[in-house]
Amino acid sequence: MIVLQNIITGISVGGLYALYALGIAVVYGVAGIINFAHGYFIAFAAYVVLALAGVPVILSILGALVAGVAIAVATERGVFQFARGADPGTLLVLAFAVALAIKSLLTLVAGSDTVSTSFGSNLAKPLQIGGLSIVWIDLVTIIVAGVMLGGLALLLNRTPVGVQLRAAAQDFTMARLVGVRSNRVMMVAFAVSGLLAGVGGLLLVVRSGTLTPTSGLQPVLIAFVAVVIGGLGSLSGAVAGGFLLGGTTVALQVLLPENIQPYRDAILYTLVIVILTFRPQGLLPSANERSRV
Amino acid sequence: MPRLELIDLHVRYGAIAAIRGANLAVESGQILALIGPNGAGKSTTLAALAGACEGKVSGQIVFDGKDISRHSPEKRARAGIALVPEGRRIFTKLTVEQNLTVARAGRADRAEVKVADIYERFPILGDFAGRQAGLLSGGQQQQLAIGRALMMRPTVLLLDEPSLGLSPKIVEEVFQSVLTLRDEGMAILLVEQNAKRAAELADTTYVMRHGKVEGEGAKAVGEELSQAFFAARGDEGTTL
Repeated sequence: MIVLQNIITGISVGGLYALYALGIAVVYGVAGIINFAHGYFIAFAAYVVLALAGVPVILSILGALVAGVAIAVATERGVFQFARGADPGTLLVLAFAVALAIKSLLTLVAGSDTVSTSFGSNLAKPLQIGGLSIVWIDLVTIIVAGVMLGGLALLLNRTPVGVQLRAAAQDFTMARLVGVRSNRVMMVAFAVSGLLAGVGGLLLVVRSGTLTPTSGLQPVLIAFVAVVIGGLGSLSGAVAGGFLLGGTTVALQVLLPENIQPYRDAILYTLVIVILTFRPQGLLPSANERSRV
Repeated sequence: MPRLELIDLHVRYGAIAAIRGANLAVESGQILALIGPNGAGKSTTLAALAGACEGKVSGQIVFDGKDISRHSPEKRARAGIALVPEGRRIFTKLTVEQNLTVARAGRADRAEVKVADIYERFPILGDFAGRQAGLLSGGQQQQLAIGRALMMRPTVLLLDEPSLGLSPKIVEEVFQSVLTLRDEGMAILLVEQNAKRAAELADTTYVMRHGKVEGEGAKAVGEELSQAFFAARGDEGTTL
């Protein structure tokens, strides 16, 4: 029973990390930007949940989603669209600048102290099924991640705009050459990443119960590592990387003796180094199939 | 009036001048072949026409009487200029059908653009409609690249090395489709390493060298030019 419980926790954390990672991967795929600001999109959405304390839960949820999409699209329109075609180093520095700007904005408005919230605190209670004791938030995270991943898969595979997004992610110039509007596809990519950030922000608030303006740092680092493990530029790789990282984190938490627990992250990232030493291109790289005669 | 005209095109990559004052004009129902050695600027010329050139481009590109040299690649695509690039650059992860439909997505008349028309022209694509495009053979991928371009309902087709990497039999099939498109009234600009075959197909052949168009003329002159070109190269001018 305890094994099953841990597996559920692993899937839950993995699903959360997959959502974080997809937010980075969608934008990287289309725009070539390693969007370090994504973590602060998440933090921004989380602060909006806090600001909306007292309103019905559904409005808080909507507020977080709208905030995530709005800040992501505003960043694209206000900053990144002017740097299209710039070299990756410039784009990375820009992303850092945007991250710092959002962090400063949050500090200015909400202060730098840790703030706590009771939003979603009911979800910290366990649910007893037979001999299983599952925390509600784990279950909710799994469902939300499943819905988001499923919805995104449908969007990308079954809708014209999704197919355009995938085409642009594979070869942006060629997509433009067949008439795909670059502005539109860029905005959609950022909107999708913003939606994922909104969901991430909600889950962050409920799971941690506290926030600081730097709360976005850990999610973005996790996302970045997951994306690199999965293979930069590959959406399915980002999901796989997220689940692998989340599952391994939980497995180490469970399996490591108590006196080694403080070194969990050191061991985790050693494993990451080992993976990347043997597969520097990641697990599911987005290499195009070799053209054949 | 030519369908597409290039007036005094210059392209620079930093200090390097890739194109130095090229002039071309292609009319509807005409194949214009551009031949010349590697690095002569043929592909750069096509990329500049389609709006996909990474260098600094100057000069005039006139399409249906309008200067489009400042238009984005997507705007040119929607206006009717379609590039089939070297190496095909199909979207390998999308299905064959998605490769086709993505090319009509930006169009106002997309409801009228049918994939069935492309399958009629290239039946093999219809057979593999749901297959991941990266799994197609080289010849099938070339057909898909041309089919994708046709989904844009172009009036000008820019073909960059369509024979590259294909077996002679498949090359002939591809060239037959090109002739059919010409007969249907399309203006076609063909860049080919296989210079001899290109000159045979083309109504007009231009030779490019060192970023300049060195010769032009009617079909016969084109063949003479290409023969002179082969002589200069000391071979038959074919890469196969």
